[in-house]
Amino acid sequence: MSFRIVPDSGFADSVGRGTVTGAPSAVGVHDTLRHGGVLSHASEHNDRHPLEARLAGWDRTRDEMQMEAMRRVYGLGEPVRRGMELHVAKLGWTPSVMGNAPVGLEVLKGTDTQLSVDDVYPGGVASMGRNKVGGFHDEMERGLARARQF
Amino acid sequence: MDHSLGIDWKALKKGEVSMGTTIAAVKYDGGVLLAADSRTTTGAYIANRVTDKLTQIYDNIWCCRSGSAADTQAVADILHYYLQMYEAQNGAPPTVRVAANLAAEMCYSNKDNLSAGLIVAGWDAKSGGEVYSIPLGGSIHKQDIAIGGSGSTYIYGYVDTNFRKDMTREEAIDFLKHAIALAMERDGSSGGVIRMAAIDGKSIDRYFFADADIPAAWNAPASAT
Repeated sequence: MSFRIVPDSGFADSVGRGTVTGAPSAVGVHDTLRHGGVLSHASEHNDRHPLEARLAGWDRTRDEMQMEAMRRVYGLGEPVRRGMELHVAKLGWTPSVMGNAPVGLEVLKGTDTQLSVDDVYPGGVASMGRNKVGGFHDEMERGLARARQF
Repeated sequence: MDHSLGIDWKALKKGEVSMGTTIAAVKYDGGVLLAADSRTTTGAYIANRVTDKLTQIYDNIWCCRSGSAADTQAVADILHYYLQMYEAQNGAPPTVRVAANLAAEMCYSNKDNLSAGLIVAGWDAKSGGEVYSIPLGGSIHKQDIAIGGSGSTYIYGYVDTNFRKDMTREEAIDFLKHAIALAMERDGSSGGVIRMAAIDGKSIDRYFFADADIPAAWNAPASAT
C-alpha cells in the first residue's frame, strides 16, 4: 500500500528452475523451440537498459497510484468498483475488424483515441505478420454458435 | 552509489537537470515566508538563471523545491491532484500538515528513484502558519525555520544566530534576503535572483530581488560621499 509513483527497476530476487519454461525432459533449461524467446538466464537478466523496466511498468504503476490515492480519499469502495468495471469490460466484445481490441475497455480507460505499436502489432514487433485475425464471417459463426446453445 | 548508510547527495541520474540550490522558509507573526534562489544547472551549464522554485501546490500551501527538477515537479503535480480530490471529498481545503505528510510519504516510498528535497509551508485556518522540512530520505520535520539545498550548509551559522520567533513580515523578508544572499555568494549551484512568497491567509504576496537589491556581504560598493 505504499505510494509508488515510479516503476521498480525490475531486478529479480532469484532466478532458477521454477522461473523457467522448459521441456518435460529438461526442466531447468528454457526451451526455445516450444516457447521461443530468450536463450539463457544471463541474457534475460543481464545487460538490460534501465529504461526498459521503467517503460514496461509505467502505465501499471500510474494506475495503481491513482487507485491508491482514491482509496485514501474516497474509501475502499472506489478502487474496488473501478476494478470491477474494468474486469467486466475486459470480458466484452473484441471486434475482429478492430484487430481483436477490447473496445469497451479502451473507452473506459480513456485510451480509445490513442494508437500505439501495441495496437498495430498486438504480440509485439517480433510477431509481425504472424497474428491471424479471423475474418468477419468466422466471428459471426462463432456468435451464432454461442446463441444456438441452450 | 556507495552502500553505506549515508545519503548520496550527488544521486542525480545521468543528464538530469539539478536544482542544487538554496531554499528557506520561516514562520513569522501571522504567516509564513518562503524564499529561494533562482539557478538551475545541468552540470556546469546554468540551464535557467531565473527559475521559480516556489511552487503553489494548493491555495495557501506552497513548497520550495530542491534536488532534481523533474522529480520535484512530478511530486508537486501528484500532490496538487491528490489535494483537489481531498477538498472535493471533505468539503474543506487540506491543512498544511496533510499536504506535508503526503509529500513525505511519497518521497519515502520512492526514495530509491527520487532525488527531491522539499520545504512545504503554508497557512491554514486551524493552525495558522506552519513550515515542514522534508529532506532527501523522506523524513518530515516541523520547524519554525527550515533551510535546504546545497547552499544551505553555508548559512546554518547565520540562521542560528539571527533567527527570532514571531518576527514581523518585513523583518522576516530582511532576514531571509540576507541569508539567501550569503549562500549565493559561496555556493556555486546557487545564484541569480531571490524570489519570495509570503502567505498569511489573507493574501499571497510575491517578492523579487535582483542585482542591487541583493545585499552584498563582503564586496559592498564603496559608498558615495
